[in-house]
Amino acid sequence: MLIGGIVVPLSFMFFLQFFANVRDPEVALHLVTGNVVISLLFTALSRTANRFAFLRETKAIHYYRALLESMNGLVLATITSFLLLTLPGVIITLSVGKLLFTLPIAPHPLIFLTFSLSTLAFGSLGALIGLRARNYEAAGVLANLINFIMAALGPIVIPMDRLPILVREFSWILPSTYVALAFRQTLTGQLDSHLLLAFVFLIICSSLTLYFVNRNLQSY
Amino acid sequence: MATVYHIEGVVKSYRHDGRTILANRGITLAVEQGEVFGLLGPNGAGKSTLILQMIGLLTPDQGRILFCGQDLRQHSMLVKRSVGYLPQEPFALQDLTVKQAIYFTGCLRRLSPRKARQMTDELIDRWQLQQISHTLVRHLSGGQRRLVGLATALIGRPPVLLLDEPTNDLDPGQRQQVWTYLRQLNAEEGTTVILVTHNVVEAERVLERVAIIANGQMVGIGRVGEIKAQVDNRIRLDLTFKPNSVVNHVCETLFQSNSIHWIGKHRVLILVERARADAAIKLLLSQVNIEQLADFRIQSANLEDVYIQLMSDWNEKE
Repeated sequence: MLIGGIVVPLSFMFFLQFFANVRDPEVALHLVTGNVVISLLFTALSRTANRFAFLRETKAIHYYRALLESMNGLVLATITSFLLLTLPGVIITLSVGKLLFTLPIAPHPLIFLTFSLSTLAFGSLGALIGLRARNYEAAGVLANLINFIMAALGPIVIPMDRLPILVREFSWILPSTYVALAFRQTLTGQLDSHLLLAFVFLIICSSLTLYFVNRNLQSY
Repeated sequence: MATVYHIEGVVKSYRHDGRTILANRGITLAVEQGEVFGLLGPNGAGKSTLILQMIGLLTPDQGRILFCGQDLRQHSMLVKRSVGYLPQEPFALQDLTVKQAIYFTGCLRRLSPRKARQMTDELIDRWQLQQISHTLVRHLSGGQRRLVGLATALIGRPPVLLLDEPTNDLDPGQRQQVWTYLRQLNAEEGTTVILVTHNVVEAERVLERVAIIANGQMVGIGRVGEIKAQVDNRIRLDLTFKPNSVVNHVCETLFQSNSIHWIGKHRVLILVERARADAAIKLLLSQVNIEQLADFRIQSANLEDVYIQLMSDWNEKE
């Protein structure tokens, strides 16, 4: 958790500043928000994937199914716990990024909604990976692979116009693209209609994933 | 007396390594309110699959399960509210302390925080878990974890208990404590107890009715007394040979193969008709040097013998 959620994003941010033109505020903003997204991916997606793979492999899922009326409660409770665990990583990454690049950060109250929807989208995807992977180890490998795709194949750390065209087109199906967009806008307080699009995408994506998670949970 | 579970022609299959395995093949049985019912059978007989269907975690492919007259397919909530379930592998809540695990299970069973706290303290006292009440469940031994699992099944005093191997990993004292408590709970509160166990000899003291399952099929069902009557004319000769003994194969030459049941390499149970017991003992002692026996007991048949005999008869038929 410490390594994935705090050390990795901070090291990434620290070393990338030597290769990127951090005097450009847009590049600096991408660098900071991109690392917040990486921190979220490591904690919300990977940890939830591992947790659900563990619950499935040890049959601990039977305990919850024998007691709970709705398995959505278990999924949301797990994601909420990781949301809280994600907070320190996000706050440290933002604070260090602001100091390092003297970013004009002026968070809008919608940052809370961004944070919640992002964790829900990544967490529910993690739950699905944990339930569908062959075993605990496979869930870890698959989660890392998805993390890499989400972080590298979209405008997460690098601005959209500097990405190859193929990657740009592909990035529109990745939840991380919308998470990063929402963080960039709500952190600087400069909102436009793309934020609404990001929220709608994340809600649809989370609802669909949660539906499949719930269906899978019924079969264990 | 009301029927708690009515199981009718339940068939359940699952896929394993690309093959379809029939875990339950048309099981029909009923469990009445306030009885202590045992599901016995060898490993892989389909008992746990049946239990998972009774708790609503699996749905039968064919047949139906009624809980208090309601079809579980439509009313699975009824079971969640009324049944305390101890799974075979109680691995959930590993990251909580013993006290937290029992308390939170109470909360999930919709007890008020105050009531959940009170019942948690009672259960910790009852199962003598005070020393480990602040230890994480993951750091407990198998037996301690089983007792915590039992406490989580019991919190909220559910009217029905479904316990899958409740005495696995427990020491003899703890096993005795569990059986005594279940009997007491059944007598005082009318709790219906459904047990899956391999510990047939100990369970016999609490079980009122049993169903014996083999290869997904029902081999026998009835009151313990009735089912024992099927083999009560048999006497059990229980021989344990000393290690390195060369005479243990002698039994096979003296008795019919279906009356001989090896338990490990050196212990054998021989079931003989009461009328033939005298002659059988004399014959045995004439062929086996008493010095080569570590232990020799003569007993009347118990539930374990009934179980072994039914399984043996069934294996022959198959």
